Amino acid sequence: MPLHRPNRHRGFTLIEVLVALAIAGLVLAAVAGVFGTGVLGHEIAADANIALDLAEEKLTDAEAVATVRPGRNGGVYAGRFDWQVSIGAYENRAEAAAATNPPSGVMSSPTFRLYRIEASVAWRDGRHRRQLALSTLRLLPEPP
Amino acid sequence: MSETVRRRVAGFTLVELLVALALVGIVTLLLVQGIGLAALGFDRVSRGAERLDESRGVDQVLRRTLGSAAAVHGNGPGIGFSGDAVRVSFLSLVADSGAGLYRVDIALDVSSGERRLVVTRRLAAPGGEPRAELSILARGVSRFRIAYFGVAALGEEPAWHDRWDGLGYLPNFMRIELDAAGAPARPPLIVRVWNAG
Repeated sequence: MPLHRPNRHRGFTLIEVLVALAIAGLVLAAVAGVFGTGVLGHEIAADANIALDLAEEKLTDAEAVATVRPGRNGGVYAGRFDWQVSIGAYENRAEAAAATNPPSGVMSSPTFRLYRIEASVAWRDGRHRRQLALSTLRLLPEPP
Repeated sequence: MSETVRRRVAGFTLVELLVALALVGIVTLLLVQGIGLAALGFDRVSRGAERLDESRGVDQVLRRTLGSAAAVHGNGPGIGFSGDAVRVSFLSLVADSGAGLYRVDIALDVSSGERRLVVTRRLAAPGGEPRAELSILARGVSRFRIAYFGVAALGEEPAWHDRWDGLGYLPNFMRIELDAAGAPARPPLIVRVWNAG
């Protein structure tokens, strides 16, 4: 029994060293996990940037055409970004009420109309489905 | 019995030492590989961020430069705007180097053996200005294409055209498709020409 004492104080046993290594490994794995999240975040940001560029481009493109017709248009960019542009007459309840009952002295202009143009882009990264949409209003001549 | 005890207290056996060495070796190997992978990932992310930044910067410069195209009559034939699918030349009042009327050329330059997108600005002085301010927007260009949106002929609907030349007015929009080597493909850039019609 007294012989065991000095033995226990001489150093670590192999099991202790292994446990310490396992703990150090877990900590390192956690650090690596944080790093992985950072890398993934960058990928997501890069995809979102492409989607934003795409939505901006489609919105400007839709705006550019002076002869806007209500409708939908869509497609796929780079194989994984689904884009859709929708153009519709902008309806606003207060505005509609004002139109049916125009204030006196205000001439209504029947040849122009307010349109809402929306460009949305949806894409998938991993198991997440992400989407962003931009919209704008344009006063355009009413199609004949 | 007393001899066994003394031997156990004296230190590790060779086998124990070898096992310990092997374990430490494996852990070190994993650690080194992990660090290498992390460095690689970090490098990739920072390169990607840099490229993203760069292409955003190029977009900004193109947007500002093309958007500032001006229709100036009486300075040579027409309004000084001519462009086709890979080259555009126009007059602009906006420049970083000072006030004045500038001739701006944006074109793909292959003279150095590398496909570069080059912007050239020179004072639109009569007789030509020899000094030109040249800046390289992108290197290793794999695709470059310009399109012009507007009414190209009387009575026509506005549409996208491959060239815009000899018309008395500016296009309403310009669309630039630009891909550089190594960078991910990006959607085209559409620029509104603020001085148009």
